[in-house]
Amino acid sequence: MARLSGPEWQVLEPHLDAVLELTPSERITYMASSFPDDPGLHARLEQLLVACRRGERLLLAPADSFAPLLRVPEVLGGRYHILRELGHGGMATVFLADDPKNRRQVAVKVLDVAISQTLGDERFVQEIEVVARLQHPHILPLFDSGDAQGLRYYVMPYVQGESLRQRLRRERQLPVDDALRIAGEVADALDFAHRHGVIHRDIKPENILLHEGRSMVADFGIALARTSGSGGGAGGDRLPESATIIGTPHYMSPEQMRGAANVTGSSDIYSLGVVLFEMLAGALPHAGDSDPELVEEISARPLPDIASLRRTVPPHVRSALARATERLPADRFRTANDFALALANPAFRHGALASATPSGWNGLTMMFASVAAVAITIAAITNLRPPAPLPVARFDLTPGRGNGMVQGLAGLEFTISRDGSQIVYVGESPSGGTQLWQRALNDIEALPIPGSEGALNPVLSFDGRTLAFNDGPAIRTLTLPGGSALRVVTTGGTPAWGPDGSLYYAFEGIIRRLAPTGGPPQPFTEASEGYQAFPEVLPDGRGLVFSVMKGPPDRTRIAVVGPEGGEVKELLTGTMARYASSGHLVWTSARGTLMATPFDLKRLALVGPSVPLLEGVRVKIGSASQFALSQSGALLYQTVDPRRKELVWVSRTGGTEPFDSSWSGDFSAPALSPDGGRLAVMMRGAQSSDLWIAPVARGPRSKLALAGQYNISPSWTPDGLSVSYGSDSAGTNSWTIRTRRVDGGSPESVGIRLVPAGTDPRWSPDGKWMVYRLGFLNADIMGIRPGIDSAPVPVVASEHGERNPAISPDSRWIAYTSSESGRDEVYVRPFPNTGSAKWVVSITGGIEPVWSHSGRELFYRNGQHEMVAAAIETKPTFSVTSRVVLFSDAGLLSSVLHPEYDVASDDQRFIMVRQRRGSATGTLILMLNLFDELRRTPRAPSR
Amino acid sequence: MTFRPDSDVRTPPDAAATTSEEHEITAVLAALGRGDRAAFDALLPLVYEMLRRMARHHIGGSPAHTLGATGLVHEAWLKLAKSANAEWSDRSHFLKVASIAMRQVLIGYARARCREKRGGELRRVTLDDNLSSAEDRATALVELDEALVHLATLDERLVHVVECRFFAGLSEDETAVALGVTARTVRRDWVKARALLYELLAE
Repeated sequence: MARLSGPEWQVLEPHLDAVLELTPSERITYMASSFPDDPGLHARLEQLLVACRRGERLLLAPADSFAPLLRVPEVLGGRYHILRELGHGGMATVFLADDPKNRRQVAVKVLDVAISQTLGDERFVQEIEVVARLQHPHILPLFDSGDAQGLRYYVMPYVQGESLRQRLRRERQLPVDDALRIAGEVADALDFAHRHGVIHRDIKPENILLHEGRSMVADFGIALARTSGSGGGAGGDRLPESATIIGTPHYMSPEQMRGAANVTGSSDIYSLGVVLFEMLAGALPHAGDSDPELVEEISARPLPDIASLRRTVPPHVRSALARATERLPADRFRTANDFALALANPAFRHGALASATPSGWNGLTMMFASVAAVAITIAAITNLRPPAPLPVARFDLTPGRGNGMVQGLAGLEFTISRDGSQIVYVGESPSGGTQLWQRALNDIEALPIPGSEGALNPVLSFDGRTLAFNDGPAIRTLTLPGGSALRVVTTGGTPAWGPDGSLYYAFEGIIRRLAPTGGPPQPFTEASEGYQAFPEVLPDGRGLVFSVMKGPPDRTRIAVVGPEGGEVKELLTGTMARYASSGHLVWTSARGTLMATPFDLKRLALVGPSVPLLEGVRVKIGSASQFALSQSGALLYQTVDPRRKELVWVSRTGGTEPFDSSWSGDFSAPALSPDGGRLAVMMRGAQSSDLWIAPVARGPRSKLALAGQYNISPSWTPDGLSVSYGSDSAGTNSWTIRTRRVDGGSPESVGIRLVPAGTDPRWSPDGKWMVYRLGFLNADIMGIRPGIDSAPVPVVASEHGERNPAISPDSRWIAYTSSESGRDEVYVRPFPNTGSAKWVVSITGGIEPVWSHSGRELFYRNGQHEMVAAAIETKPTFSVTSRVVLFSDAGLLSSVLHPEYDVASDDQRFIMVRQRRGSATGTLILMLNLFDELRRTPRAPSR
Repeated sequence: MTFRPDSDVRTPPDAAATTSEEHEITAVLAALGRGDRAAFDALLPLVYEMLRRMARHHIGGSPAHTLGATGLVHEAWLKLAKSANAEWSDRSHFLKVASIAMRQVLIGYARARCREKRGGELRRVTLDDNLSSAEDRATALVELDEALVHLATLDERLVHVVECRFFAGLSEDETAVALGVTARTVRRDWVKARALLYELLAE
């Protein structure tokens, strides 16, 4: 890519700053609307965002790690003559040295200075002495250790072989027998060490050496230096924060990740379980991200079920793996020997397995940039050379005036050829109707296809030369280029081409096949419950996938039928399945999330959990998701236009009426004034975010004149005269909270001058407190009493993300969202004494808590985005007496940052934000290389 | 390292120079404190010399403790603060200058290392197992330095963040002090700097 120029950076940097503050799903929306008029800048911003993720792997530790190479003496301890450096790892440099006394070559590991400085720790020295005495066939012995000018070193045998990491890199997945043998040997070694009181603390493939057919565990006890180094103490505070998660944290047990002071052998058992998982699955259970916060979140989830990733794993191994990696140490094997025995015992079963399903993988949202990062392991701390996979690239292909896309009510509006070289879409015709346009992607102009007037659902044949489409109920074909030989073929729905030129299409609820040689169409599938549609031919004639519509869009199922047709097998809930050459079915949910699920072409079965790829794909009525795949790995899809939202009143039963049908825009965070008479709402623009005040009864609405470019998340002061909100006007790259009278009567003020940074302000109804969110991923809820406190205090703060504060009408309780359980749930604590108790209100995920005015209900959105009313008792203490789902509507928007709704004074209706239906064609986006990234972890869940 | 058998007293060769140099540094820091921006440029060579001398001293081998780049920067500051009445408020100036100087020191070593590359043995060391040779790391440092030169044409503050966080090993908060911005800005700049470096190094 071209080097960034100064002026480009000037333009892009503020956008990058803004995007980095958003959640993945918000990023999608933001990116979709960034630089609508300049595809070049848009693409550049995308690239930068990808670079931000990849760049996180650079410079993970300070240049300190370069220091020892300048400083190691030629002779260590008067005995070991350094010959050459073998390599440099996490926190040590390994040298090949001569040991003349014993006439042998040895490997000398010299710990980096920062680590060496922590070694005053008595416990560490003692443990090393114990390790030096451990004699076991699967433990790499320690010959000697010592101190050389403050540098701690260890002398080990010079083993010629490879590490398990090297073998995994080469083979990715090991034969099941090999994996079990290695795991068994390591378990033996661990058991022996544990019985001698030594915990390894850093079991990972890098530390398992494969030497002449057997495995040897290296670096026993050395990891303690890291533990004590990161926990403070002498020199510990000098360790950079990144050093605490040097290398990969993915093998750490949950308790180790939490920084538990004294981990036990059980932690090693967990780590070995993860290593075994990786040997069998070919990927880490929670691969992907180097964000410490994210890693922590991920580690709170159970491991995916290995059997769904590799079906040759015997049941007892699946059971043993599940038990070894239980979240709670007490639920794991008591000893490493028990783990080894279970791996060797075909009758072993683990009772809790049924509940250890990979449910944690559903509902994840992520950005395509995360997909790009999936396969890259966390690189060496000194790895200045980044890995260079093909970057995921996005291009805006939205056609311009004259041949622009035309909104239709149903059906598919575009397709891409198998080789990814051309697209065909429904566009304007000179007569004011519609026709098909063809654009070769190496061409700038689209060309009209004569004879295609009124066409819908275009599909290109395997060779890209023949087009089939719907013309009303008829299916026609024509030959490209030029549109000659127009032919009416038959009557039916969206067609699909087979490799031999046969056509498959839905008619009267089933899929039919029309042979290339002509003749009457034949039924191909048997009838099933629902209406079959949108067939897609699987490669090598292995069958068809298609959608089965059953009424509401969220009940549409994806089904498969074999090469001979006949019986239909339903696979999952979703619509518009396509087969990607990476070995996945790609499909969308009714809400427009593009998903990928590993799919076995031979068995016509799903073989792994579904992974979300991106959000915001337009889904038309009839479950017609607007995306197409090429076999070359290009994805073409149409987004929902984020600017076309409207405010609606929604009753408790889900009935809607518009707030003001003449008003549309990219609304967010509506907030009703305390008397219910006025609405404050933010409206995003291309490069701004404004606050609007509108009367609830008809009347003029007004935009608040504010200093900042972005003003977000308004909330009313208890007197109803002002709104507080987050603003970027301080110019410090962080949100600051400001307050302004809505009548414009006073100048904009920094409401609480003592609050240095934060957003999402909420006042307690008694006016004593203002609480707000500080931070983004790992946010905390802070609070201040204006006029009393001299500085904000943490209200709810933990290592997890706390957001969405909401104080009850009597100002005695605070509701908020926290990710402490691994997913967002709504919690309530007493206020302001938040430390005294805590209750979880939601049970299947929860965001956006809002109190009813009566105080007897707490509203929130559950994991399925349904609106829930939780009935509340506060005497004798806080309790939830019932949870009732009020309504769900895919078109009603929600947000993990702030409530995307508010409750009217009578608690009987909600003001909400809805995506306007049938309003705009959105943006057509071509995305390249997405499936290359998926292919790297073909059968593994990842994020 | 050679020892003269006839000498049982080893004096650091530049011990005497220490005091006047430190005084000079604190004088310049004081000038900076009074708002004399030109003093900044005068400070850099002084701090560079000090750090380089301290590093060489340690590499030479005698002291009981050994310091990495981070340790050097902090020890240098402590020496200044103790011996020459440096004001605590001078620390931000010092940290910023020391970070730039530390980059020069380490890049100097890396360039020297690249020059003295062993002949004949052209072993391509992969990054397998997070291992890399000293030569590779020296080469990587030099490449990084060149990328930073280009980065400076886009945004100098991002370069300073790299100098503080990577070369001097300063924490987020210390970097914020050194550069006079918030820790949050440092965090975001650190992401952006590495993103741009990623692009430059991937070219």
